[in-house]
Amino acid sequence: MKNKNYFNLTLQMALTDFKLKYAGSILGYVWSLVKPLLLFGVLYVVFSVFFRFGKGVAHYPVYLLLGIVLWSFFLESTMNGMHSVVTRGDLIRKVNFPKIIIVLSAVITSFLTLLLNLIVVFVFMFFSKINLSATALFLIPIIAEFVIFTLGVSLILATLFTKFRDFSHIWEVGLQIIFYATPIIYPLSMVPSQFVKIMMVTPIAQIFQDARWALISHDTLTSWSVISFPKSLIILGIVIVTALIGFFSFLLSAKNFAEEV
Amino acid sequence: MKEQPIIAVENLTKIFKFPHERYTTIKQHFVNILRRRTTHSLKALDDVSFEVKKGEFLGIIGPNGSGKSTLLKILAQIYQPTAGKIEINGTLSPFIELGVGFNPELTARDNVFLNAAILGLSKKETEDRFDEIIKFSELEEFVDQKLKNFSSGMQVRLAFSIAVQAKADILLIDEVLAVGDASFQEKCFKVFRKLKKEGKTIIFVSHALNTIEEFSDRCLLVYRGKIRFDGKPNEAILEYTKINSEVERDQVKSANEKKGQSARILRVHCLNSKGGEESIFRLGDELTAAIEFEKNSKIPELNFGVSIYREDGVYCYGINTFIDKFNTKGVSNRIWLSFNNLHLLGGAYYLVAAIFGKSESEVIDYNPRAAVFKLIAGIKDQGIVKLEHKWGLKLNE
Repeated sequence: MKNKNYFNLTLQMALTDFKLKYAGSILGYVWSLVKPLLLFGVLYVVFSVFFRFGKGVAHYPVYLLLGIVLWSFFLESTMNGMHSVVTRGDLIRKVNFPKIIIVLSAVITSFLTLLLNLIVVFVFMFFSKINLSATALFLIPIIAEFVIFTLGVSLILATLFTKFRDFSHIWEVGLQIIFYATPIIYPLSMVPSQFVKIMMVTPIAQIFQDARWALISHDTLTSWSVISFPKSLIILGIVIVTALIGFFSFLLSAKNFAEEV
Repeated sequence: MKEQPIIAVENLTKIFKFPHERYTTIKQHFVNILRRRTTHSLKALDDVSFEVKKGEFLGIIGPNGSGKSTLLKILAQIYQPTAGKIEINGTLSPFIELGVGFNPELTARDNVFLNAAILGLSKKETEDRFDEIIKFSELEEFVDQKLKNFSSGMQVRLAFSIAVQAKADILLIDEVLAVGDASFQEKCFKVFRKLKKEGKTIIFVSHALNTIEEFSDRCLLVYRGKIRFDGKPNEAILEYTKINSEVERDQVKSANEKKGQSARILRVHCLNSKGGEESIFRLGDELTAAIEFEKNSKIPELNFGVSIYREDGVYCYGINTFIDKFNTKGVSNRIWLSFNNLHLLGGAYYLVAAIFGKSESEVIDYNPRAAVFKLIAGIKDQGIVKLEHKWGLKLNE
């Protein structure tokens, strides 16, 4: 089979998953827009109206929404990516193809949802009278970094999950920890300064803050301003190493998936 | 110059290792680090070697669990061999079973695109072939119906129609024609003939022995992980039926040993009128079947049976000592049955010999292919037996 056709297989699998996600529901694709909006509504009421997290943060609602949208992508990709190999066990046992396609297509499926959700973010930005500056273009490399990192994490999880089913539970807890350990619902200004530096080394925090900086407000605190230049490259190092570990560990164990899954 | 084979398999061995309990959680792994892990290994394929020439239609037969599907999966590179090597000089169609990856929630149209992608077709190629696929499957009216509303026969039809579009030199097919009505099966056979003409190499695993016999040029008989026979399909099938009867015979034997009864047919000879061993007889010859056996003394009374079957399985004649009221008391280890005027028509026949207990349902041993003989009739009469007859014009002549 030629590479071109593997591309078609990846695409077909991703589109199928995307279609199936909403098959049988009346609202269909609308759900992928409504879901983050509902979550946003809840978090907004709790954290902006009750707890007043957003005080002193410019455009906190959009800031929050962008965080949630990005987080949904990470959560969905890693969860689906982790389970994907086992779910597609039937296919693996009967057809020979690069197994990485399975995880890749799971991430692409979530990526399609992310694109739809970003449209919602842009609509909100319009209503909040945020002017798009040229820095919005930085969103493209930021998202690219995010996708590579997410794919790396998904590949590691998928590899582990074929051997240890525990990881579905471990990762659920892990996701909760990451959710509260990164500035998604709260602004960094509320975090004691000694924690900020540690927090900002994580790729998730870096990516989220960079995206906010690019789209919403240049006042947003980014990793690049918190950590001095040569040290800050560690973050990119983490992303690359994660992706490489994910890729090679998956590749090494993939040839036995047909017997293990 | 020797033609290079399209597939060469050398000393292929596949061992599956199963832990006695499969550990899929971390806790189980930790708990069992201290204990010695006992694994149970299964040799699915044992030192298998063969070659396939380009354009060959190779059938693979064998009882369930003999390693056929494992072999196919290793050829398709789904499983990794434990030892040995495989060389493939061509493109391989990646499907083993029909309809893999079909999703019941999607329409037939979506499933065609998905399945074609699995087979390695691009989107453009699928679009070009789409009408042909649907037409072949005879499902034009149901293109936009969800697959879950299809009957299993319809699903197989759709799957087969997509599968034959795969552009590969080698097709691996596992048990495809189990479903589908007679007319669709005939259509599939037409496709097989066409593929054969196009010079494609097909490896076909099936239990449908008549399909194997009709289409394959060569047949492998796989039994207990080894290639038991490699050659002409009809000979492979004969060998296969022998295996089946061996298995049955062993089952009968072990069942009787539990009851403490044992008697075993050792040999059955066909003898001519002079008492010499013979395998070719003529119409009207004398044929004596001599049965040698062993038994233990616990069995009070034995009933010996002999039946004659034509090669194609037609039951021609059967008799036993009980029906004939022949007294077998005092029999030691030999008994004979003589047909003094063999009135069978020309063809190949085989004898089935059996030892029963008190009733015919109590089989102690039987040999479904105890002996074979050929009969040359030299007449043009048709049917199974030669019946005494004469023609006349008036009845009281």
